[in-house]
Amino acid sequence: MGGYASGIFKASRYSLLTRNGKPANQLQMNTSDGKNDLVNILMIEDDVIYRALCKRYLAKDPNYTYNVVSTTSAAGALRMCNLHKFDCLIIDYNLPDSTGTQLISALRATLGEDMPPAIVLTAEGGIDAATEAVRTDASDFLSKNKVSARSLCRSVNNAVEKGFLKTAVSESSKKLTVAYEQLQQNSVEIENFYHTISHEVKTPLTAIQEFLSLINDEVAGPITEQQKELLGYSLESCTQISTHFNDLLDMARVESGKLKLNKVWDSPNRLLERSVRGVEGVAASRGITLKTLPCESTTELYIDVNRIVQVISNLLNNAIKHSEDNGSIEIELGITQGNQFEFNITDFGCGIEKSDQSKIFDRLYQVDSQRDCAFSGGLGLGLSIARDIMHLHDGQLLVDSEIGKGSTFKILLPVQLH
Amino acid sequence: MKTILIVEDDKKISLALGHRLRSMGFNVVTAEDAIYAMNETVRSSPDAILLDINLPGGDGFVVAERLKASNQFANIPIIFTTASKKPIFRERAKQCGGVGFLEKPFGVLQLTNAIDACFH
Repeated sequence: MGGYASGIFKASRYSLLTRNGKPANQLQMNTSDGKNDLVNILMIEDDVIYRALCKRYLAKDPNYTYNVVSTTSAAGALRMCNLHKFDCLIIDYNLPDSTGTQLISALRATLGEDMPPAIVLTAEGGIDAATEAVRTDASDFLSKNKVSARSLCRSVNNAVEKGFLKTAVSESSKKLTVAYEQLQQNSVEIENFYHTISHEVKTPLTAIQEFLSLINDEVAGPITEQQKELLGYSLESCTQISTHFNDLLDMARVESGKLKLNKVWDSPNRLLERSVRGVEGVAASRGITLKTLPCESTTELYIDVNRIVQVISNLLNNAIKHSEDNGSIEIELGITQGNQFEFNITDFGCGIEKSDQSKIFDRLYQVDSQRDCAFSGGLGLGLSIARDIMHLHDGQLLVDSEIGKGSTFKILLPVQLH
Repeated sequence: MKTILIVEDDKKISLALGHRLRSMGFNVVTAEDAIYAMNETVRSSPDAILLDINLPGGDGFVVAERLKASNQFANIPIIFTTASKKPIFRERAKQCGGVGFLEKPFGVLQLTNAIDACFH
């Protein structure tokens, strides 16, 4: 076991940690003599005198205390690196069984990311070896006969510190990956939970809604106009419960990254027709007029039709909710100068405070209903989901509003080539 | 008179849908799980099936696949119903040859349209 300083592992309180143990390196851990914590070095050098010289040089380092272990061959180095974790390797380019660069490649193949930084010592005039050393990603190379205590210590310091930083970054990165995976897992669990809750609530809700409808439709006998009106309110509330649960599920799907778009080409006017058809009844019941200004352009949009209809319907429902009875809502379609397709939905309701305009898209945001009649009630998810859907389309959802005058919600979608 | 089989494990939903379909002029038979669904199909040879997906004793897709695999019942139109919003259910319903897909709670109009699709 030539050159192997036997007994060193158990002699010191700085015993080398095994590869399965904690890393040997710790940044800025000062020992009692004012130096940083012990740094473990493996020197691969067959010249016993040169080895002793380097050890003597390293002992002079004011920054670190080194625990230098040595071996004389590439085979020995591979064996030791597999058993122990070193903070830095000092490798002679000319080894009896290999070259320094071949050894680095072999070590990298075995240790991967755990490969410690390596300094290659080249013989005089070994420019080729030096070039090769740099190419194999050695931390540094030093010409053997020009090595001084200062240059060796400086080179080892740099390599060790770079190694410490690399380890710290890699550990932080691993922690982040674990945390990210955990978050993803949590999102999936939350989504599954919402699915279960939604299913369990919607099942009795279906029975309630169907029984109410049966009475409302006079299947069980005639009812009065007033009874019909009251049942109508109950049925509206049933729809509201379903909508809330659908919003929760959509939110969870966005969170877990599972909301996928099913894009097809469709005409904006058709989208508008579909969206308007869904809210016509509610608007008519309150005498609200829906003025549509369709687009003359034949441009088609590459979109998830159901999702965009969901966004427009959401905006239309909001606009209806916030309009006075017998009021009107304008829906205008067009192409912007920046070649984007826009849908503008304008109501002439109470408007939204400037300070609330950026917040209404925040998840679960509830506007103070005393201050703003417009966005009270609900889970505070509709606009947030609408914005998420627009972002998934590389589009935008914007608002412009003035208190007492009304609000315009603008959907922007990229115009793509068919 | 056409017969519709309601396969539904929630007794109240089954009762409500039964009332609704009878009021629309259909003869109604019911089953509460996947096994009864098969027995009832053999017994009454329905003209259409309203089939819940989440069922005890094998889900609605299993029932649909068995029916499609048989010579006698392969052509009975199936309308799937579910209170779940999992997109995969919609896809599987299509693969199983479902004529309609009703997401609970559904309205009278949706039910009427789905049933019309079965007979036209």
